[in-house]
Amino acid sequence: MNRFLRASNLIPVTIIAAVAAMVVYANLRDARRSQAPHTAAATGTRDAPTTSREDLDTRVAGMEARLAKHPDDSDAAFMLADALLRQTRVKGNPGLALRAEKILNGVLKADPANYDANRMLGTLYLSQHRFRDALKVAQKNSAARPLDPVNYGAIGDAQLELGQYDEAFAAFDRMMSIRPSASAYARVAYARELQGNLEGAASAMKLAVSATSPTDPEGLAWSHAQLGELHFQRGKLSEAKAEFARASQVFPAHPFAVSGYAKVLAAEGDTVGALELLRRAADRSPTPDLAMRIGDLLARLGKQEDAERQYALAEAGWRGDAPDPTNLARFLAEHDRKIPEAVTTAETAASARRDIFTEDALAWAYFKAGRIVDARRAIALATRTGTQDATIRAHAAAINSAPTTVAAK
Amino acid sequence: MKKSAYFSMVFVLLVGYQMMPGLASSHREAPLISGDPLADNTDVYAFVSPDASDTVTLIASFVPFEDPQGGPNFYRFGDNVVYEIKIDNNGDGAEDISYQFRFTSQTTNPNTFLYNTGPIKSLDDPNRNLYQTYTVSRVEGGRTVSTAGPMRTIYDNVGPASTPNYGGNGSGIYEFRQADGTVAKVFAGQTDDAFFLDLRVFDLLYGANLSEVGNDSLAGYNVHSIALQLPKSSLKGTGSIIGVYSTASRPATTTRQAGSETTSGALIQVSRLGMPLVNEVVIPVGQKDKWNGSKPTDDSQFLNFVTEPEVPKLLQLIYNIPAPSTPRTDLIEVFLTGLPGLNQPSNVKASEMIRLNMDIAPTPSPSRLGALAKDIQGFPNGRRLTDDVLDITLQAAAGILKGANVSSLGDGVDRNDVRFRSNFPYIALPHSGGNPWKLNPRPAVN
Repeated sequence: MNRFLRASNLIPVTIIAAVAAMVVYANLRDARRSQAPHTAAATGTRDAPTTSREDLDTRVAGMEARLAKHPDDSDAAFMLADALLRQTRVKGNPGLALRAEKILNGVLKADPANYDANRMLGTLYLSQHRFRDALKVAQKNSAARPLDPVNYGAIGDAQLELGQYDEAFAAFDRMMSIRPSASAYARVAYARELQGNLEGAASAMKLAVSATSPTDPEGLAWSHAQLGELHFQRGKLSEAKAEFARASQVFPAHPFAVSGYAKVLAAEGDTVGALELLRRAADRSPTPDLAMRIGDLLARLGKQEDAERQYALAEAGWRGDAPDPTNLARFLAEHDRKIPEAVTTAETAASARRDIFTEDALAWAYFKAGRIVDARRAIALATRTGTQDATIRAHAAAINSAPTTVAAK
Repeated sequence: MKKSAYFSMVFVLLVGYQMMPGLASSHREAPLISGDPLADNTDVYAFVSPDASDTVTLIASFVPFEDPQGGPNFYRFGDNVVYEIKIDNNGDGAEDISYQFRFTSQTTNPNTFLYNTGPIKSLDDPNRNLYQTYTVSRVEGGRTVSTAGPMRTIYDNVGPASTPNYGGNGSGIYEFRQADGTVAKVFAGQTDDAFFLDLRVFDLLYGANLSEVGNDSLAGYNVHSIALQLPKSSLKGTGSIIGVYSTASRPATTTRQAGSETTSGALIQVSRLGMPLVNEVVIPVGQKDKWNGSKPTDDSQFLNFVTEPEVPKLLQLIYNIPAPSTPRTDLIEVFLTGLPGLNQPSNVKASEMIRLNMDIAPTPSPSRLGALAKDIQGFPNGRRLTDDVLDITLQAAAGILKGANVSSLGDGVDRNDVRFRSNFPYIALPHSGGNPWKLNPRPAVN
């Protein structure tokens, strides 16, 4: 190990680590966006497999074996794609989503009108942040089955990410009016959160927890972790902690449970404890978001060099995310790195989508570049839903109180 | 920088960029397609109680495929679900009486996630850490006329160490007085899944070999059931024939809600079940969302699926069993109106529910083929736990009521995997998580 860490090897080692971060990037990427959907087809329905870590592994292996024997078994393909999408979330490996896409496309090639496959394709596009593609597919699916609530969920999810909030909320309400479910409650919760109604969001998320299938521990852990996030935002640290603990009990070491719990520890002042948890999570599946958070905690402990190493990893990981550059822009602006690039990156992101988090990244990049007038215009859009998001609120306060003639950094 | 390192970096960046589309996955995504087993109605039973013939027993089961070992804290009724057993007592298709069940999860010790903190020996044993209480209300014409409770559900059959002598003391039965002064019995909690069939029959209909059947797909699984034993006098309407079905509803919330409501939203029906197999076999996949949200009074919209059924066509195609000529008025009687002279109310409006003639006394020797075997106390007159509804329905679909010679048609599963109880709630005790019979010799059956 020491031999490997010699200075001359350090650059390749860093690069390898950066690649690892990029490749496994998907999970834990940025807090707010895409609370929107993806998921599991058959999950929780009659005779459906459960979504524990072991069962997902078993299902992938089993369905792959079935497909190897019967390549045209569309049920097996469908179940495999579903399990792979689930694993994308808990393992943080986007390669799994690519495999799912390949499998789904195989099904659709043989049977272009296959409704279930088309429905999952919308989900897959959402998970890959191809929001316009997702919207198109979901609208087509909803024309085919106007009373399938799932399609309105997918439509709303895509519109939300594109910043079309009124349309998205209407789609979620439609989804709910057809069939209240854990999926619909979670979306209503997020819509309320975006509008700054944190209490209402928490009550809707409690309904989501109570409506989640007992055979869907992954979904249940997700709901508990979301509820924890909402408690955290409301400053209810002990409630938040309990929900994250519950999430981890339901689905051991679920990434959201771990990072949420670490967030509470950090807020309570236990920086070392938080660091330890995040490092363990990063050992399991490194992501740029984890690297950034670890960096922030290291910086708090005064370990600037170590922090810088983590930031380099985070930046490298986010730099690879060309379809969705918002995170990179946000990271650069937030950490005072390469501000001119942060501006152009955020502008690129905002040309494709006008959601409040992209607008916020843009506003903060402008602010750091000293373009206060532009920053004010963007932050007005970032706050247009009434969000109480702490970062956005802090940015808005700084931008709106800054003199318009401030010198560029 | 060494050249080799430089090249590897370029290589890395190229690889990184090639993988970019895949890097776009996000983690905050809420599940989109989620099942709702807590509100999933599996079966409804309605029969004159064999040991108390002045009463009728109504049972509705939910939460399919509970693995007895699947984790004792997994299974429960949904806290925000309103479960209902509905009764139409004048044949017009509209509910006249509804029994509404509402459940609330409780925790004895909030500092632990454990289901129990020691052996549970009674309903209110303090070792029972996670438990549910419930109320049952009788609603007539939209008005609540009485509410009983809170009562406790029976605990899950965790295993001999946690739940010794399961089914003994505290078997989960309560009595309550109704507004008309009559006394009713109620039960809620985990039970065996009483439906017996080879689920592969659905698969095999689509082109395999019907001789492969014979395995009870539901053997060894549990469900959560609600059961009522009600004096006939409290159910009678214009006659003695009642229609019975069950629903589950969840509260709707909205994105624009200002306050912090939880369950005050409008109730939306998410599941509906009356006659067995209608949802599975008669209603096409693309119509199921519509079906689950629909009311019996609107069933004319589904009439074509009954009069022009798919199953007989498949039977003809695959097994050369001739499909009876359509429209199938015989199936309208089985599924929608009841059979004339047996369980059809006068002036009946065609609507899908179990129709029970309460005047037919229980027989000491029921036939699994019910009315098809001249045992008119049984299915499709009401539905008893022992009625082999899969075989009866399959034979009916193949035209036995039109004289077709199809009495040998069936799935090869003729009885439940465990014996039913001889007293209320009749449905069998749940399989034990510590001793699931799937791992043990098959017990005696009735």
